[in-house]
Amino acid sequence: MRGMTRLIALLLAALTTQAAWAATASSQFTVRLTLSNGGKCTGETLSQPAAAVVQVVCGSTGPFVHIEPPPSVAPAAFIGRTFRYPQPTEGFVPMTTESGISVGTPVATVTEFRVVGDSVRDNQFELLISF
Amino acid sequence: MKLFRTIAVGLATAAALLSGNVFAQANPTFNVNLTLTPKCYVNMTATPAHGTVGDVNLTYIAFQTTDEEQATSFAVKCTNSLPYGVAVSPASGTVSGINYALKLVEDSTPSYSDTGDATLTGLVGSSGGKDYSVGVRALKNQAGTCAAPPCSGFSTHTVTVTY
Repeated sequence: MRGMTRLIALLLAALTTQAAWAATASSQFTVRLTLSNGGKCTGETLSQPAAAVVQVVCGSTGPFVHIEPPPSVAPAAFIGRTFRYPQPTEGFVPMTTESGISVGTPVATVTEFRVVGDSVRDNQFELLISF
Repeated sequence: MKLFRTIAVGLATAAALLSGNVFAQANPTFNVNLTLTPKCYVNMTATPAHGTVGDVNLTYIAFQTTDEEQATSFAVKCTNSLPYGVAVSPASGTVSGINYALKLVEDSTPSYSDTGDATLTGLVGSSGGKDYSVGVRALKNQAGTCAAPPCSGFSTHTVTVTY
């Protein structure tokens, strides 16, 4: 009994000592995150029926359509480009391309792409662009 | 023989009297009592160099195809042999709709986690300092939230050393 009392006393002393030493030191840092190019939207409802990855980039120059083949399709069989034009009625002179070439402020977007491959030669071809 | 012993005792007594030494010695002692209050310090340092000191800067393109990762590091100096633990809280966060997770490691080379792992225990103090890294990972293919581009934001995290 006396031994037990001594053990309890020692444990309490140890706990008290531990509590007496408890201290903290701290510092802060910040995680900053920037969504580059404003945002990019992947249109799944467009991508799935078209069997292509259709993305709309909402950058500082306005919406920009990007079409690329799905990972399972060879790049050579599916080629897509996107252009912007000063006026839709002034002809097809590209002002801004996917590569970033810019001639002036675009006011409209026309998207074209060419499909190369035997599988689509005799099939219907549909294109839907929606903003 | 007895004569020699008598002479020796007499000479010793005379020598003691002449030198002022007596056979009893006084050796006063005193104690130096020192109470050490243990301490730990956190010193934030920044990597990469373009960031504000201690900050982590992430640039994320919505639906990007690779994880975005950046890191910061700091050093902890403690009283030698002092047990301590380090934690970063919160261990995850969300900025502009992009979720990210933090991983704390006992090394100057960062590591990364998908879910957040930012607590270390059982550490031993060193006056020379110990380097720690916090890796921040935003998983790929996140949409984010951005009503009015460009969008950016921040979240504050706290490094706490408990000893």
